[in-house]
Amino acid sequence: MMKGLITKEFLVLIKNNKMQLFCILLMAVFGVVMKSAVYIMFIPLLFPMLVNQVLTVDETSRWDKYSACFPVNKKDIVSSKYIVALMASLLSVVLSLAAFIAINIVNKDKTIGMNDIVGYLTAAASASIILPSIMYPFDFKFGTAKGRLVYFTATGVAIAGLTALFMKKDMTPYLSRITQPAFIAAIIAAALIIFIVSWFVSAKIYEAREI
Amino acid sequence: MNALNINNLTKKYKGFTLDNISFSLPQGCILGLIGENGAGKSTTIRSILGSIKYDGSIEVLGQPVSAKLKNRIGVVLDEVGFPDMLNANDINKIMKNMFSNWDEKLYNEYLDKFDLPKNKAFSDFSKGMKMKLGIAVALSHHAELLILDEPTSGLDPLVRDEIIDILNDFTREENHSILISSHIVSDLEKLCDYIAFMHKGKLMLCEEKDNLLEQYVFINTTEEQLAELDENAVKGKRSNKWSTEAIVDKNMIPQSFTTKPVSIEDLFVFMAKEEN
Repeated sequence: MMKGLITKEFLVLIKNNKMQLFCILLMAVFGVVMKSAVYIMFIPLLFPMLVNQVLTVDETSRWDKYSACFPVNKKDIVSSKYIVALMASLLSVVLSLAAFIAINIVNKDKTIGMNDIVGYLTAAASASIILPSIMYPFDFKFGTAKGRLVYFTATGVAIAGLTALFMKKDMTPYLSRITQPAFIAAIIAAALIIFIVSWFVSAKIYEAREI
Repeated sequence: MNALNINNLTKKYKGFTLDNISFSLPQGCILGLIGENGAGKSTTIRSILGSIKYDGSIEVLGQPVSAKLKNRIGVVLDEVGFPDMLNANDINKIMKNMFSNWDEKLYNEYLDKFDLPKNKAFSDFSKGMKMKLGIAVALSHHAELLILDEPTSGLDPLVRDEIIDILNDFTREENHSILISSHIVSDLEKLCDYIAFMHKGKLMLCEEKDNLLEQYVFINTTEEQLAELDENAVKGKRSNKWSTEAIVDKNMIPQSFTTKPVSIEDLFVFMAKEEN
């Protein structure tokens, strides 16, 4: 049953986003050609957005209502979204890693250090997990159109709040520790905890929602 | 065993209440839910599918509805909700991983029978083709109960007739049952063994179709004569300044009246107007 939902997620993701997926691959190629990590870091930011967009397709095609016809419950539907988001996150980390390795092969004189690569990949993995974790509960609660509005508003308020909080503090000591293994593990663990909490919250929200 | 048992189903929305609905669908039969738009047919079906919360109890094939039980139920909603870019082959890939009893061979046979292309995007299907694909999916996992919400709505008469033939074929197996809702009464009249009238969230009646057609008749009379009849005998009337036409219970009027047979549509329209 879950396999059917995941199959559907991937089919829609691929068939609806051929151009966008090509652009993501292009980002990796640009990163290698330009020898720049900035392009590569777009991959974990863009890929989860595409996965998240499948929920919009569900609404516009009325699959969300139609899925009541199938032997799945609402928790399965939410879980399929999170499983695919996690797979997409892994894929974007693998793609980013491949791009970094390619940069180092192409650019033998000035390679990117392993510490930097690990730092980038940590950021990539956590961003690609945290972004959908924040978006999905809003989408399941309000629908994707209203959910995006609430998401952007909430994110804006959060960024403004954090900026105000840390404005006068010197962050250098913290940032210099970013490549330490314990710090990396803590970031990934925090991202995974946010992901699991979000999964649980979305399931509760969607189970309570009448479609 | 009944294929479907609904007891005291109640669902309240702002401005609409599905009011204490109870009816049963015996196994092997077809029950038509008739009602105007907004009568509560879709709310009843959504309750059966567990899409909404409700008061009361619903049993399908002898048990409460669960995800697992839906392997034995085929459902077609008024809008078949497949994503636009997918084609019939993609749907097969999804459904064979969705239903434990999915029959790929049978699905392909239905696609051929309904003349549906396998590689054409769903967005390029006509409304009739979309509905037929929905029916093919609902029939391809050996369901024992089909639940259809307005499957013929917005379709041309030819396609509607074709769909009714398909549904008739389905009930050749004696344990196969159908619950079908429609506001196109003539479709249900052709198909159903049982008829349930819904009007403004209430169930007005639920009886065997043949009994209804046997029990109720048209009479042409005057207001004065009609007033002399038992008020329970009169199910509905239409008056103008020359005469009064009424639908009455044949068993509750004197045999001296000249009667004409009614159709299910007449009966529903007269009863709904009387209720208003």
